Amino acid sequence: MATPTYVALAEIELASATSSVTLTGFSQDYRDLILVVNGASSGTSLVGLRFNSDTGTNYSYVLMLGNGGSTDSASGSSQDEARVGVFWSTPNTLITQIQDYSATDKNKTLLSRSNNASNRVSATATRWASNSAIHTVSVVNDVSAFTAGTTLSLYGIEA
Amino acid sequence: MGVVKLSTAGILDYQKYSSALAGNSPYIPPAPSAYDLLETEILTGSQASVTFSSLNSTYGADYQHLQIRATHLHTASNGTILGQFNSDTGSSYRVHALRGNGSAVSSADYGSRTSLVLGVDVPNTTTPAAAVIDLLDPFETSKYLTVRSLAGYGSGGNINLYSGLWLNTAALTTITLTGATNFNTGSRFSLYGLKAA
Repeated sequence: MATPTYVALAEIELASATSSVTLTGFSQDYRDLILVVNGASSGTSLVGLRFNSDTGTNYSYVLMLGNGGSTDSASGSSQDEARVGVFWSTPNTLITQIQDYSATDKNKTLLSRSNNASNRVSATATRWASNSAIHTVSVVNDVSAFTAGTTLSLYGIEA
Repeated sequence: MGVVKLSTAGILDYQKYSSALAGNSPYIPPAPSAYDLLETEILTGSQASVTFSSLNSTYGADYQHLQIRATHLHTASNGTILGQFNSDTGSSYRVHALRGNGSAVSSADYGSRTSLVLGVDVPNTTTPAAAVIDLLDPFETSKYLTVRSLAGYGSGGNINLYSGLWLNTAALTTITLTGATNFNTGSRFSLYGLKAA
């Protein structure tokens, strides 16, 4: 039987510049999360996610990007955050699929698309080396701050 | 206590309503979701493939597009997700890929194939990869079925974008997802529908 899903769990619009936003208290009744961040950064900055306040070196990633002149791919392991994109002072969108966030039998895999029409388009796969269910998602601007008006939306997907 | 007669004689500014609900905000039911979970399969043992069947007869009237969300583990290294439709094992599939491996971005034309490639290679048996696969207009019979996939493995693997085509105008009845090596316990494949207007 079809089950309506893609349910809004949290919505935040920043009233002032903020370097880190934490989403917590959301339901564990879904299988996947989709995080949508739409806005800008006061300066060019990596954007990362941390789960359950884990600041250990438990994250790894691989990305590819195109900037209009060339392409590049990079990877990293033993990171202290889940790298998902880069934000500039011009408008950016980030959509991250957080697969199986409520499952406790596997590491977590993320698929992200990060876009900035003035700079680059990129895609990133990220791993959080933990079998814990995700209860908290912190969205971190590494070197500056998300500007006022930036929105963060979190959706739940049943499976 | 005596009877008091109610009258509008002393009210200078009034309005008559025919409904007792007048003045209240009307109830507007929430719009029905356009994105529905249709089926899901979470493996409790290893198996070679996962099949969603009877799709056109069950969902064709209500849904315009389909999406598969997959988290896949494999029993041996170099597993990935291969897709076939309506049990068509002919060379009816085309795939282009854009992929990053951590050091460079490359593009590939897979040519004529007997299946779609929808996931990335998984280099070990313990860490899952993921794929979000969109199937556009799968129940229309006037065009070939187009597919796209965002797939990745975040620990020493690849991030890939795939474009796929099935050279057949038949309405979709069956999706068969096969592991290049068997899917392992804990793999999850969920099918969603996006409603037609």
